[in-house]
Amino acid sequence: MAHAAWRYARRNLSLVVGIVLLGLLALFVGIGHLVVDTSKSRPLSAPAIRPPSADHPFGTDRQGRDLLATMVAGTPLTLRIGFIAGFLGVGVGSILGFVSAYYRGAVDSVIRGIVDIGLTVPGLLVLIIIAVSLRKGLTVDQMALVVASLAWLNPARTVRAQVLSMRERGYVEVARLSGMSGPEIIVKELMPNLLPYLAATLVNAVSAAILASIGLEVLGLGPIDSPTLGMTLYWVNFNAALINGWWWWWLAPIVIILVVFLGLFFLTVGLDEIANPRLRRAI
Amino acid sequence: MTPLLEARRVTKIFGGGLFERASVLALENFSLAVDAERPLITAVVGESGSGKTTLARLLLGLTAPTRGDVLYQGRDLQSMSRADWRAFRRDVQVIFQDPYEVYNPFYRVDHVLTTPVAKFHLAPSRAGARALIEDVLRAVGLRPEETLGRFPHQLSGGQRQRVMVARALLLKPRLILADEPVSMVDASLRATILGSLRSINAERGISIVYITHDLATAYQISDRIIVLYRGAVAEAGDVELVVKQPRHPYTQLLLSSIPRASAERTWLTERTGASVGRQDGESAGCRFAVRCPSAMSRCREAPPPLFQTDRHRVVACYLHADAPAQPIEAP
Amino acid sequence: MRDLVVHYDTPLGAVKATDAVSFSLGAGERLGIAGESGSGKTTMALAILRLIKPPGRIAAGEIWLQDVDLMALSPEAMRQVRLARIALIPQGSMNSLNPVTRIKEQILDALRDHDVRISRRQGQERVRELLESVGLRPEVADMFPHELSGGMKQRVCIAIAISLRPRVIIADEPTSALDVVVQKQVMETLAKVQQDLRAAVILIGHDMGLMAQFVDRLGVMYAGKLVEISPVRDIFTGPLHPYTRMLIASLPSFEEKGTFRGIPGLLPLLRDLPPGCAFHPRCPHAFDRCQRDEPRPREIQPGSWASCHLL
Repeated sequence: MAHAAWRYARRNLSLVVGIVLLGLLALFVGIGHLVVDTSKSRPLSAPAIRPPSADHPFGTDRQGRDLLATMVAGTPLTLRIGFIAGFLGVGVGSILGFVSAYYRGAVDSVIRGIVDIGLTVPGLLVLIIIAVSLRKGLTVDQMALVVASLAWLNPARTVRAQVLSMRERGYVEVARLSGMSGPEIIVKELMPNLLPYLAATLVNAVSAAILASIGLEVLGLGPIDSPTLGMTLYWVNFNAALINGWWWWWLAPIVIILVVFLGLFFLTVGLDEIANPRLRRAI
Repeated sequence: MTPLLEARRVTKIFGGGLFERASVLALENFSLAVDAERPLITAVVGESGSGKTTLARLLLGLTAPTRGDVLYQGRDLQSMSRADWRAFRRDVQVIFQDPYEVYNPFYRVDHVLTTPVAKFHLAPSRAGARALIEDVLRAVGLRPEETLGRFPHQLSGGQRQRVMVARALLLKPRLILADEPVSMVDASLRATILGSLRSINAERGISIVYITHDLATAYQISDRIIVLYRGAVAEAGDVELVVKQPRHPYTQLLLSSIPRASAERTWLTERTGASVGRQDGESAGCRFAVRCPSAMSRCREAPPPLFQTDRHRVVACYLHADAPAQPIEAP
Repeated sequence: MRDLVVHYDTPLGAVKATDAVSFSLGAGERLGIAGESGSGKTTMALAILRLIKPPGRIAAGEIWLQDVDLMALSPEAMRQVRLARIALIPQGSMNSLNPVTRIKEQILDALRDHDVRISRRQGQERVRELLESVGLRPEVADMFPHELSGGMKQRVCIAIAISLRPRVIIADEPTSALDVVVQKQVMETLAKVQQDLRAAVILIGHDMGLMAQFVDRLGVMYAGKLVEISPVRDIFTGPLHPYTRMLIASLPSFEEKGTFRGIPGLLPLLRDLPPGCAFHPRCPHAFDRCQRDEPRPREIQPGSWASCHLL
């Protein structure tokens, strides 16, 4: 069993790298919460603008936040936005995609129309408009919902495309002739074959959601009191940390963001290989 | 006696709607009756474009005829109740051509057998279901212990197709429609599957409609045969008559084009006289006239009716216009 | 071809797609290689042209074209051999024609690829000649593949294959997707061009009837091995190997109705071959030696070779 896992790991290096990166991040957050006092992520917990030292391994920022605490507290928040928005987006999008592709007709036209129009509108712009209008103290969860409002469009389109090709398969015909009803066919016949594909789409959606939320936060439209990664970058910008040479302030969040995206990227490539057997290389 | 399944002067035209220019006449004035009493094996033979796939879909109710009706026990498929449909889906089973596509790769092959048992309540308990499934597997010559629990890719094409035949038997149908069941199966395994179909017909009294392009297997397995050419019946009747003494020029062409697996070499040297080629324009008369070495002027004017040249055979060809004409009904 | 062995490297080890296949082809001769799926016949054809790609590789064997050892040629020299000396009409080639290029361009492409320098006018003339030799009208040159029927497309593939006047034409399942009437026309075309060029033909397929009516000698492959090779008349009047015999017996004939004699059992998986003779689990005449020793090909009668312990 372990031997087979090792062989697979050699073939699907991307998956392994992705899991390792995200695992390291999880460790960082997990151990961090045990070791570090996260209340120090609030302003005025520490002397301002201190470079990394024994007391403050990541340094402090202008408002007196201990940056290590900020990272430990903020990373899971950012990830949470991404996961909630990603799951919601893929969940809703898939259901609509399935329904649209399986039943065709008027339902398909309506959903497809909304998706096609929605995808041509610049997403970030819409999100900015939404965020600006809701600006009365956005919480992390509200942030997630804002991003989710657009995150369902792409999954709906891609799931629809997959299901359209799958519904012509012989086994769907056989299932129908064996007495299965429409919804049953969707759940029992189509969905299981889409699982690897859905997993890959999910990871993509989470990536995109995190990116969107960081984008909004950097513009100052995020939950202003939360120590999320994007908000940290907002303060970095606001205080011109780059010009002032306070490198520890912007380095930490950027490295963590890089790890998150690289991890998710490699995970996607790895999942893609599972979902699409044609991509499998010979060892 | 009401036939079990009947196609009455069925015509199917595809396309030709508001935004499409060309319409395709896939099947024209086709009639077939499957007897409820005598279980026969009927072969429908045609090449690509003959309309045989369309016919299969029409008979299964997967598509509606443009003109004419398809009747199940006298009831029009297009206006049947749900209860009638359930009965229809039990009585009429199908075996598809591709033994790969019909399996959901996510499930073991048991899935295609357990699903109909569950949906049609064929067994009172799991043990009963298991017994029923093992029974039908053995009936097609498969060993349950070697077949159940496996994934589709672990079985050969021949085995997969036999599982499909077993599945067809589960519902104790009265008619099985087999659409090119062995064309994607290796040569050494074909005879076994065809033998199963023949014995199913003989022992269980199930009628079979065998759709194929392969005249040789059609001859081997069927009692009567219908030869289709571009949507119209060319010749139909008792299989021995049609194959051994073909009267329609197309049937003759078909038979002479088949390379025989024997030591005699006449295939390449025989000249058939019929010319190549598909015509895209629709002519008013016999569809084969363009290629026919014996075409006469009347062949191009109107499509020939079916002339009954023998007691159990009809030919749609003006060469036999001396025989009594049937009002386009196949026997 | 002598003792050709082609391996496919899989995670579970090397799989022998062909094992010690040997045969010889005379000038102008028609050789058929028949076998079911997984028998190794296409692999063998690709090996002749050194077109085996990883994870496959030619593990052993020699292939001689007249007095040239093809295995010893440099890749560039081998490229020259392809099409100019040995032409391949691959499986499914009619569906691999470039859908956005006119037929004449596709034929000329093949010529240009082999550094044939001809003027535009000469090129057009050559295309017309080639199309005529396969029985197609000159207008076809300006058409696109989708405007042609299956049979016409296959004849275009034949035209491309003969464009450089090869000595050997290998046709892999050239008619399997075609209707039986069209099949006859395409095979007639193939016979004609073969005679015009005095070339040899290797026909690969699974239709024994087609083999019986077209080829001069027939080889039967099973599980990567050539189990029998004889003049085609002998194969059908007196098959030597049990597999050949049972295969022929299972074919539907127009003489006997109602008897169905399939070969029991299953085709073996190449990665999991039975010990000894690969056919022994399905052979009604197998005895104990068949499970231990692999039979080697022996000349049973002059010109007829078979690998079976019974003989």
